[in-house]
Amino acid sequence: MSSTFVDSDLDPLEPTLQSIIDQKSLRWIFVGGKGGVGKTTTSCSLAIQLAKVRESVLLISTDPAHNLSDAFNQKFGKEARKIEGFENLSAMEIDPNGSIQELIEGADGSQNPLGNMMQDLAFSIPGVDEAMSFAEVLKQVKSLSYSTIIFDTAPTGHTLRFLQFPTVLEKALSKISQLSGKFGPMLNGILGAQGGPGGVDEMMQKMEGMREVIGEVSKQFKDPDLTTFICVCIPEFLSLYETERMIQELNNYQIDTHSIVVNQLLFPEKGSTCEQCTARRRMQKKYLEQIEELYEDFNVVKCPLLVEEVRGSDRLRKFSEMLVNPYEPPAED
Amino acid sequence: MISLLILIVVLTIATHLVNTLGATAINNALWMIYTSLPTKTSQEVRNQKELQKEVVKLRTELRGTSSQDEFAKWAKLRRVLDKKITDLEKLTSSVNVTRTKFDTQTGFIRWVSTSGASWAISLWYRREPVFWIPEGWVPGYVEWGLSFPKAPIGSVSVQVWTFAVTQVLRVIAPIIGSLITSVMSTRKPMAPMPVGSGEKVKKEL
Repeated sequence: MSSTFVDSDLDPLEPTLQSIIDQKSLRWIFVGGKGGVGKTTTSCSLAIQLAKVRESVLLISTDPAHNLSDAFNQKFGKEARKIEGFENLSAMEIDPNGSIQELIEGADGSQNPLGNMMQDLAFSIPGVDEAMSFAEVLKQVKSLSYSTIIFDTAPTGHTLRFLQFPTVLEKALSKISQLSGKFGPMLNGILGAQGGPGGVDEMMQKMEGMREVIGEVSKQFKDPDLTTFICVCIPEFLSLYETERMIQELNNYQIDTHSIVVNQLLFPEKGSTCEQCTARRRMQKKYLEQIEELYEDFNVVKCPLLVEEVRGSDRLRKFSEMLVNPYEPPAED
Repeated sequence: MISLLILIVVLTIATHLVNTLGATAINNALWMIYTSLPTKTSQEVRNQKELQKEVVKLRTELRGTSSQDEFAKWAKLRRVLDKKITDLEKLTSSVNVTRTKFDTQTGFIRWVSTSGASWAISLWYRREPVFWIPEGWVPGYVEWGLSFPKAPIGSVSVQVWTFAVTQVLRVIAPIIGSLITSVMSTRKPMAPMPVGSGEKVKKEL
């Protein structure tokens, strides 16, 4: 594996995200991890750092919980909006479920129940909602011409499940086309009698178009020059477990990932009498060692647990420095 | 036409054997032979078995490793295991495809050499007598029946002969089978009882 190569020829990779900032070709950056580990903080910080060197950066939250507004103390919506205090940094919040709902309603009105049933059927394919919303976003983003787009993803292990989508959809489409070959005329007869649009053929065309768009998207996401994924975790078992699973899944999807941000590290000062802190520090140390052993070929960034919430542009700015210049922990016992 | 007579007897016995042994048993035996030959498939089957062993070994190792205390080791094992399992699945499906194909082919050959052959013979030699019976042995209408459908009057037709052999075989095959098993069990009282009807018939020949 590449780890042996890294071992023999190189020092451990630098513990910063500098490589991502320097890689000018990157267009899509995903930030993901378990809930509450600091994905939003990390993605905001990265956006701030990237904005310094790129022409324009867009930060998109696909998390229905929407923390971007809280992080920057500013309301964001479905339209990209400049973040106050930054020249070339914009943000938007989209709701995967909301956009799919709109799409279903907008596409067909409610003239014929059978058409709706077919659509419901089509949209029950796993991952289709996310895929659709990504496709929507990408359509928008393409016309907006940002140099880099950062996704603050929802806290699930299946964020990029939809990348399997073209194959899944292909199977589904062939099934549906078989069905419509048999029942199409009948269905069309019923639908036609009601005089509404949205016959089976039209439906098929829509699906086909969707498949093409998503195929294009997944091709881009699989290109390591264009896309990378940053895993955020905290040094605890479940988070680590989730991260490992996510990395394996990303490998399966052939999505590049070579950075891990380890968040909320405790560094009790010398002579600290806080029993809890030192105990936790010991536990975190154990997992940190495991991380270093397991992810030799990753940039592992270590960020400390702060005494305050990282909210507002100023604090985020300060925090973002740690992604580039490694945090120097205070002397320990 | 003595050869036709024997040919039909042999063919009927073969068909009966195949039917009693069962298609699956024969296919399994043939598959065993096929995979012990130095072919690409046999290599695949060997690899599959090896992989299976490795997966089992890795599983036990993984169970013995604490995921909380040695996460790195555990995760690495897990990666190897996952990879092996995917490989195994791929290999298994490929072997299964070959196996299905093999089964279809052997099934076809089996049919051609038994039912197909007897069918062809009965069609080809439908006008030929298998053997003649002396004149006056049986009344005329029975002669007509014995030569049914197309053989010359006074002879036994292929169809009737095949039917007769089949009926006789159906009666005596189980008798011979049980006779052999009883002889075997009295000769070697300590030997385990033969298992399965298929084996019995094998011994009878």
